[in-house]
Amino acid sequence: MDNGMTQAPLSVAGLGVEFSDFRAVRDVSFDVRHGESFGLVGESGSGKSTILRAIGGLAPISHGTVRFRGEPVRATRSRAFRRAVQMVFQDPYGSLHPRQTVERQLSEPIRILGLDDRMDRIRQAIEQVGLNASFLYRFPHQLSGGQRQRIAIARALLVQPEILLLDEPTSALDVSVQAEVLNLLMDLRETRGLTYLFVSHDLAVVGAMCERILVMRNGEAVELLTGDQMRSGRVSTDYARQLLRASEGYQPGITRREAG
Amino acid sequence: MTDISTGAFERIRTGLPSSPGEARLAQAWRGWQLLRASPAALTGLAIILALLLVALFAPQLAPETPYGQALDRQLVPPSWDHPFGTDEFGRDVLSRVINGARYTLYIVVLVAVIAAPVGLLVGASSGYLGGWIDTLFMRITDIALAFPRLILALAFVTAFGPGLNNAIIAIALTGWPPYVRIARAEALTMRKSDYIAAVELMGASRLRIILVHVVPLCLPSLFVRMTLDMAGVILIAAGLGFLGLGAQPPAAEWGVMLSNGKEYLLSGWWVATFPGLAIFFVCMGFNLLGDGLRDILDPRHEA
Amino acid sequence: MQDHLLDIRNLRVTFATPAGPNEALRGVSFAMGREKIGIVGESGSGKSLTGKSILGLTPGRASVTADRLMFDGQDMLTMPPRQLRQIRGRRIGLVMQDPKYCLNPVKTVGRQIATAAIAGRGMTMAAARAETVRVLRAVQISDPERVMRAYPHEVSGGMAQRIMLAMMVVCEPDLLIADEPTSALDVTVQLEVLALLDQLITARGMGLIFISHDLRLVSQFCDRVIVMYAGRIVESLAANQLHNAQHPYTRGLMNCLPAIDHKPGQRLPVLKREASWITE
Repeated sequence: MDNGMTQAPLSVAGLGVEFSDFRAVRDVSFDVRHGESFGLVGESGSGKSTILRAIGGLAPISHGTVRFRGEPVRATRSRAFRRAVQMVFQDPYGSLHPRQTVERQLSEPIRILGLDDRMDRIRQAIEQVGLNASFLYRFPHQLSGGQRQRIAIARALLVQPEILLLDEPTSALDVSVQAEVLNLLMDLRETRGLTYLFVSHDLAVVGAMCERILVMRNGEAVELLTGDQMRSGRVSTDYARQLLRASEGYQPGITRREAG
Repeated sequence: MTDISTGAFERIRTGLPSSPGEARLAQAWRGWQLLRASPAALTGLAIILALLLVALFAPQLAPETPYGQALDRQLVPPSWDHPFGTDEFGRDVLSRVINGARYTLYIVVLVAVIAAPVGLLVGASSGYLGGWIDTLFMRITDIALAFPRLILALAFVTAFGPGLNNAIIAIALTGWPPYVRIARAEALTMRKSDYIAAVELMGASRLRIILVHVVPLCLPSLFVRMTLDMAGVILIAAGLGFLGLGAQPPAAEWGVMLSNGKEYLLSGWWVATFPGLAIFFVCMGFNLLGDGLRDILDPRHEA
Repeated sequence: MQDHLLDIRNLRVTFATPAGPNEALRGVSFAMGREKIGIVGESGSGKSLTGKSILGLTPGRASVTADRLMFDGQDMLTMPPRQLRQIRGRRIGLVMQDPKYCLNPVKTVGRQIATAAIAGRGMTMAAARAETVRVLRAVQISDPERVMRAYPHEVSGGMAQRIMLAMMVVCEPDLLIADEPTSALDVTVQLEVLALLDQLITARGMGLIFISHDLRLVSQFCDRVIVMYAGRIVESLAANQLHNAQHPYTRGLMNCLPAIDHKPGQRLPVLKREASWITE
């Protein structure tokens, strides 16, 4: 039991992901500590989402290992892994089945894992994400983007996981909705003691959510930062510095000189 | 408590239902609203409903039995007594056309029941699973698609012997490849989608994903294609009947009637014309309904 | 007042839906000169629709009305369709969010720009080719000859957006409408494209309508900011006066963005929407 608390619930060592002739991720290693929120940040093509998918079993692990509670995961993930690790996807329009009611979609994890008290669990989950039972029998196209993402989070929470893999959960949402969903994620983490692996291209969002951040580029890890280091701009690589500056937005004088 | 039903109706109408049953009704209501806006689809629906009713109540609707020969009234032209006239054996053509609806419905339903599920399952599995299964299934489908449908049906019927049931089996056996193609195309677009990934992540079995998540999304386009195909099925069945390879005389099947009538085209035009018109209207009905359903069910039309 | 480049009064767009008419734009009015204007709002605010209705790109089932729609002293409401098309093609340009959807996938980049030059400025083929090389250089593409021969799928997202800018620039419009021109790009590339856009606009003295969801970016890039909510303009102010914004929606939009030095775990301020914003 003691071992379970000190050991990293999720660790990645020398991870490589290859698709036919393309190496999406190369030799990436990190540990996610119990109860922390670990950020993966980078631009498109940096491999950050692919790492999440490889951990979840949605992308092949070509090299290295992914360990869950110290044990390397197998190609077919164990039942314990399925219950403990859940994922929230970027696009709330694509991550819900378009022709199933909310109730039907939320029932699915319970049915697959053969749990009881289906309706109680569903009601509890939907209230936890700030919605109510009146949403249960609607179809995704009747919901706003923020509501959909809340449903997707509710679906991930249903099986009471320990670790949430969050793949750009707010980048498809309006900024005001983003704030609400980020607050919800912070609340859930505190009340349920969840561990997050949070992927985003937005440094400010990662900064608000994460204690440690791994900067990625072209499938490789560039720099591991603490949240404090990032916020105060104490970074050692050029790329991290460049990202930080870009996140401050457009500054006519500076940017023009550089571009020209 | 009296306003429970009106409350439920309001929830269904506004698309904010409060139980699974109401959710389904709300979907149906929305479909009906869309269908109602299209006169062509409504016409098609009316024709198909008429076919259904006529087939169901054929014995009650037909003025005479379709097989009652009366050699004293051969080839009587249309009149008040015999609105569609009589044929070479003095049988009432109207009664035979009405009874023919039963054959047509029988053929259409059986072909749909045999060909569509096979096509759906093969296509959905093929598209979702990919890999060698996909290659194998698709090559078989390609081979089947390479044969002209009527010729292949002819070959089947010649091999198994003429008859209505063999004709249906032949049509069904030649009818599944387009459904495989459609179901596979739909499944392919879903394969990489996040909602499928989400259930994969929960550890759903492949069979469950295909049956519960992939198949329902293939259904709308399959249903449209099936409706549009039915006209072709009726034509092939009638063609086989006409060639003497489908339903056999004296069956009141429209193709058979057409075949008999062709001998008397000059002396008794009505014998062939009315079954021909029946085939024409039913085919048109299926086509109109199919077009209308495509407009409703195809999400690309929703803007 | 009369030398406004664009002057819009009471622009309304209504969609006919089975549930009755749905008013998506409810009386939008603004006037602009050769300046950079940002239109900001969330999804459904009508910001994109405003740009589209200026260009006449609204879908067929939309009905567009306005009390005034003047472009460079000409009344676009009473203009014959032919003349309207000429203005919309040549004098008002459009850059959209995803360049990959706006470029023809089966024609080379060079051909598409040249076609725009021939159609827009009546150039000969040879002159159009030379012009194509020139504008590709102008958008800082270092090897224009190679890019001209490429097909859209062979270039990166940032490159494709530069090509879109080149295609727009070749027509030398007076007004450019840019609808989320950099939202599909990575942050570092985004800034390069913005810098380029800024240069082109300044060098040619064009007017710009920059449509975006990103209030901070717009305030850094534009001279003036128009904030839209539910089909209406709720506030219009100089970009450097944004911190003095009066409307709670504008202030809410600014506050709910996490800053880079936001403390982890600290809750973000959320926007409390008031029903009165829709009418007032």
